Amino acid sequence: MATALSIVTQNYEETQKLGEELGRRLPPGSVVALTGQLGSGKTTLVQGIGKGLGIRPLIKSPSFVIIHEYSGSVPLYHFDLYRIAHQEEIVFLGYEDYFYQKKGIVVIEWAEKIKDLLPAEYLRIELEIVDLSKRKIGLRAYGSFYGKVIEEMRKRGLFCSFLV
Amino acid sequence: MLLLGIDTSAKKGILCLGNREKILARKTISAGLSSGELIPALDTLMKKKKIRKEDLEAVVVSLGPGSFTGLRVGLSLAKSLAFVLKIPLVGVATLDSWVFFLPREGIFCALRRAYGGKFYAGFYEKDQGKTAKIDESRFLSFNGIKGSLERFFPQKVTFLIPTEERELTTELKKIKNTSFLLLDKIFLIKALLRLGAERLKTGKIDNVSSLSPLYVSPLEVRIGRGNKDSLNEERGYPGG
Repeated sequence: MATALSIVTQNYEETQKLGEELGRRLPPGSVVALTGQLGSGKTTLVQGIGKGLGIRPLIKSPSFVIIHEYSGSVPLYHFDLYRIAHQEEIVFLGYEDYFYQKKGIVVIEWAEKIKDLLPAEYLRIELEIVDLSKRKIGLRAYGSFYGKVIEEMRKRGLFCSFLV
Repeated sequence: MLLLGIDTSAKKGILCLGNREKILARKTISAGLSSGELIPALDTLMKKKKIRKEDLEAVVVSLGPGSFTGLRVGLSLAKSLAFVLKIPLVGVATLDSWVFFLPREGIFCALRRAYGGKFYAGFYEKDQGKTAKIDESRFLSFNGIKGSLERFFPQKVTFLIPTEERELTTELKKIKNTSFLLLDKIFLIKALLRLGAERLKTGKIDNVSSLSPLYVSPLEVRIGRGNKDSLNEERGYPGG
């Protein structure tokens, strides 16, 4: 069962705001998989999520360290798989302990690189560049856990250009 | 011989002191397993029994399969202690230890919950006091377990499950031709210490630098091989 939602954000601030709304609604134990080319707004979205979790420090792409942990109302585990070449590499980083914990939120940039290792249930977000500042953001829930989050966002009527 | 046993393969870690005959002391460390908790817990345990570090004669550590980080935390502690105290280190394959001293015969499947709804499973045959491993520990789904049991038909297979995971029996009951044995914590600790003592007796100790956890992953990546699974080397240890 999948639930999907498509949103267009007009600029960087709206993308962040979207992230913030998500951050407020995602339950602990959530796994969010982000895909989208360089500059499509993945990290911006994560910054928004961080804001929703009350995280103060500036969130940047952990491209170098791959995983960065932040403490907020719940912990945020920020993954950036840009540098990894094979799925096996994150096995060595103890990914399973992050993906299957129930305390915090896992957000993964370039998640398509580990498609075989994602849990059965997760929230997928695809970001597309429309023009210099506009982004088309598609959310898709795998599992009822995330279906509820999308339903709430839909009800809120945020930024929705069309609903799927 | 006074052994220190460390098992951090499951959600709750266990520290124990004892020998092949009995457990002298034990402590469970609940969720949030980290070196920051293990060391004070060990300290408390030893002080309670008035055991000094000089009294420890060997370290026995559970190698998994189990939690990726958990195994490494336990193993790091085990290695550091063995190195600093200059005492032997023995790594024991977790599932092997469950089967080894079981005073029974037949086909066994040692099972433990992994993550994502999957399981770690090891298959063994016990015959006339000898234990043989039939298959490597695998990372299986429920259907995968069912499938692996087909080759033993019509022989019955007994599942070995820690009492902490007894809810697994509800699902496993559905598989034909099987039965269960629930293993309580005391049994698991004794098994660890006994297998450790057995290895020490025969001089099969491990190398502090190279000993690695037996990590089983869905991608069939073996990060470390630990010490060859104890049962593969030699058959014919006397049964329990």
